[in-house]
Amino acid sequence: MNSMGKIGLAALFASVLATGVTAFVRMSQDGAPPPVPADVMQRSVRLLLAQRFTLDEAYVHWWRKEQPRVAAGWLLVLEVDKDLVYPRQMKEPVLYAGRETAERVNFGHESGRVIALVPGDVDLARAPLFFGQAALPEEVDAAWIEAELAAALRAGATPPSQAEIEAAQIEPLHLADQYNLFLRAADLIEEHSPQEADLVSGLRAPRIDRR
Amino acid sequence: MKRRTLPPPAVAAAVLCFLLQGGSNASTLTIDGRKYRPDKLMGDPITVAISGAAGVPATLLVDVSPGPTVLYGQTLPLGFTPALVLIPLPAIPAGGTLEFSATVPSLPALHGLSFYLLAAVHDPSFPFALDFSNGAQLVIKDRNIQLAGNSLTQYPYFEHVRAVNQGAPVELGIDPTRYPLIIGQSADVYVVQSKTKAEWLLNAALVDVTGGAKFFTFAGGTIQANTLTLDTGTLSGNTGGTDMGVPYDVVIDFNQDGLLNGTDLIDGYGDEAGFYVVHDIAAAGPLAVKEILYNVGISFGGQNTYYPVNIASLGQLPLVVVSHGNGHNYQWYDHIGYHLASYGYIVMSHQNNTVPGSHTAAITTLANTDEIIGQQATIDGGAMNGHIDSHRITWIGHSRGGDGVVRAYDKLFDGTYTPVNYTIHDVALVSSIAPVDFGGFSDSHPHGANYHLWVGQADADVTGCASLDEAQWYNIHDRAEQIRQSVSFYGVGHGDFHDGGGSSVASGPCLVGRALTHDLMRGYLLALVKHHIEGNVPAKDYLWRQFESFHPIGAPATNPCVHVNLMYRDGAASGKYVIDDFQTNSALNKSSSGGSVSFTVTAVTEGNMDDANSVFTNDASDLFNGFTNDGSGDSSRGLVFTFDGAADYRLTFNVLSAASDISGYEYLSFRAAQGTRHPLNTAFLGDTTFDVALIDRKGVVSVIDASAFGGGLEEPYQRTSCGSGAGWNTEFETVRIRLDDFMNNGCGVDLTGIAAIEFRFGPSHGTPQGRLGIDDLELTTD
Repeated sequence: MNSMGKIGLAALFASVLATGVTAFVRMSQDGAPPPVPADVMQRSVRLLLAQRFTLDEAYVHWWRKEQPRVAAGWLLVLEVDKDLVYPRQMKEPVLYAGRETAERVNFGHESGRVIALVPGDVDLARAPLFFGQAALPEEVDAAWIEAELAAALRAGATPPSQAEIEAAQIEPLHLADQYNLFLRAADLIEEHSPQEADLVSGLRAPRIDRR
Repeated sequence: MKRRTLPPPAVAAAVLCFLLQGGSNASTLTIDGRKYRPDKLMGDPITVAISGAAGVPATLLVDVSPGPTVLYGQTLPLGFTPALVLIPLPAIPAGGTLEFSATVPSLPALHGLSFYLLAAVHDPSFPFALDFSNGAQLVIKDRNIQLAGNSLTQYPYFEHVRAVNQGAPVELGIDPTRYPLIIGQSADVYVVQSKTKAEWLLNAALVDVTGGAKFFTFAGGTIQANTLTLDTGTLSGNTGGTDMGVPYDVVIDFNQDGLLNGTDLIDGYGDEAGFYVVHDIAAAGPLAVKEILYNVGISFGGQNTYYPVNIASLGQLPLVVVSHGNGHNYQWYDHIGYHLASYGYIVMSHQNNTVPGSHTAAITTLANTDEIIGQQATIDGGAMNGHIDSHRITWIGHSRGGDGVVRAYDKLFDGTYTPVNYTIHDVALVSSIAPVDFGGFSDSHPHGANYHLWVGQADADVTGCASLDEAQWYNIHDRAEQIRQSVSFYGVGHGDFHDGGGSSVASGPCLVGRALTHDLMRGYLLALVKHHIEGNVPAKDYLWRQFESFHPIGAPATNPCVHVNLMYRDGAASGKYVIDDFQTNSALNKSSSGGSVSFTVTAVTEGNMDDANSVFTNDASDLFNGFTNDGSGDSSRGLVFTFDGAADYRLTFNVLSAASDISGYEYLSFRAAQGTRHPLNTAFLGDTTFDVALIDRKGVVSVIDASAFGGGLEEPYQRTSCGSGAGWNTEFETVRIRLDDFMNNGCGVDLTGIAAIEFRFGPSHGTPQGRLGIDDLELTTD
């Protein structure tokens, strides 16, 4: 066997070994969520789309302790750091728009795009979009949010620029209720985060006639 | 066979004390040599002996009540009811003991009845010329005994079981020392289609289903000598429907007349069969399933529902609600939906609002459950209308949803949520898959719910590590106050429990993967709901018998990565007797039942089962290293101890005299675990084995190896991280030993007078060394 043949066999052997190592690695570590970064507030959140919505029927905003009812707000598409939105069962970084928590309709850990609902009349030009420390949104109250906002501002968070807002903002929506709002969100998820097809089909499940 | 029912322990104890104490008598009364409570089978001979002054006559008093009654200034252990019968007897002969024999009548109506006996010796030297004996109780049983099961390679050499997997052999085992009348007798042994007691009374004919009755001559000596194969695995487990387990009875036809009569013995003379042959419960059931996707019009009202296509002809079906976890999707539980629906369940998996937290998830579960019941006339054109049994609801939740279903139950318990269409009493089972514990003691509390837990030991999200209470699986389980149970899979990750694709979210050696996980889940899930929702008898066997020896047929048991640990604890309503659960009487020398505890094992500590730091690294100062049974505010307590291999060691729980009659209970049950990463355990990596001994009040001892039934205490899953070393949490598993097994082969231990339960460790008893934890030492009625 010539030297080239030996090299070829060695390479083959090495590739077999590498395959084995790869298989072992895969079988001993399969998809643990990445750790929550320590500098969540310094990770950028970029506004891509902003659409005002109003509803005939208000719904409960479960994403803060006070559970306000929502009849109007912003539907946003945001570009975010994927590690911050990787789905996990433990506490996750909370997304804020100024002094309000944003409801993340999708996860966006593969696309880096999050479709979010921000209740009320938040002035986007004065509301930094930022991730706060890991928490359960249902336990977050006004005092907590205030402290998070202050920390974010100290960390350099700023509101979107007027140019960004103007570029992102589209015609407002008026819808009947949360179900229809989610249908609109599903369209945006399909467009911006197409990997989440099951989420989209789940949101589009046909509504039965209520009693 | 039918289980015995017990009076409340305190009452039984009081009666026992009184009867044993007797009065100020000189005479004695025994039945078959015993003063208290022999259980006699119909048709069996009994010998009654009365001692007293020679030459004076006696009278035997038989009544249906133990009294006591004050008569002639004496307190007598007899009721003196209108049913009292007086049997005049001849004079007591020289020697001072009058003996006579009789046969227990074979009258079905007598089964289970107790008769109370008292002798009155007409001795003029006593006040009123009557010397009353001690009282005695005679319990009459029909000829229904445990016969079917499997032989074992070590003492007790046989296990009587309820469930037998289709294709597996089933044997008969009978101990000649407990049933000496069989010795030397020949008989035809039948396996027959099961009949109820009423059906047997109507038709006593024996029709064997194994190809013909087997002729057998019973011998003396041992149960091994009286073990025979009833069937090699040909019996069908196909019920022809959605039921689980084909029931069979076993009959020993001594008079070989093809009828159940006379002194024949039977296993299955009652509503419960002798044994059940069970098909592959991991395989789909017989019903075709329809899956529908819709939204009920509430916030997070998406529902993915599975129900039998022929539901119109099926009456009311139990409802199973599935609540997914964070980042999961309600369409990811086909393996649950299709499987259970094919066995006659309606399974609804709903959109779950998990991202805000598990409180919000709980609200979603509560509301969606209400909506499917309330809107059944509308959903899918009303196909399920009238078919949802809203009184048999199971909640299954995954991760945040697993916490959510518990928090939902807690909200019903606290009265902070009031559904329209069901109540807390309708939630028959709550099951959490790899749950977080965000609510803690105050909010994630199952209270009296019938609670079940699934654990994936390789879970890389809800990791189970000591560092975070919220990520520990067993906190909620240990909070459950009544029936609680768990199934733990090694090598299974968080994502393996759903079918949404993507990664297993797993970390650790020998990963099992999603497909095999679902093979495991389907079998255990069906057994779980069949037992708790339908009262299925053989299903319970799957919930506690050692996986190594018994599991659903479709479980991938030959895969070397697959290891399964089970815990099962009955609720107080079962009538169990807790010897020590370590929740009270914290002194090491006293059990929670008040009995004394002694030991030669070392480093003994009783306390909260909570790792004291944030890692599983071995640390001599962390006495409960690796235990993850307690979160903040919890107080699940247990005992840890060490045996070092240099000698044999023991841990002895003395039984209060008032509770020493344990003959009415079925099993000795406890849970135990290897302390993770402890050098005494890692040096002998593998199952820990040891002996369990019953010691009666005369000092007679019977010993059973705790691993005799299929496996010892499994070593912790050899996962690294969470500190240094290998081995994940200290992993409990339940061991249950049938009390009758301790009597096999004439060991002579007297279950009516047990003094102590002793655990024996060390070179003479199994694994030479170890660091173990133990908890929930109980006597159970089933």
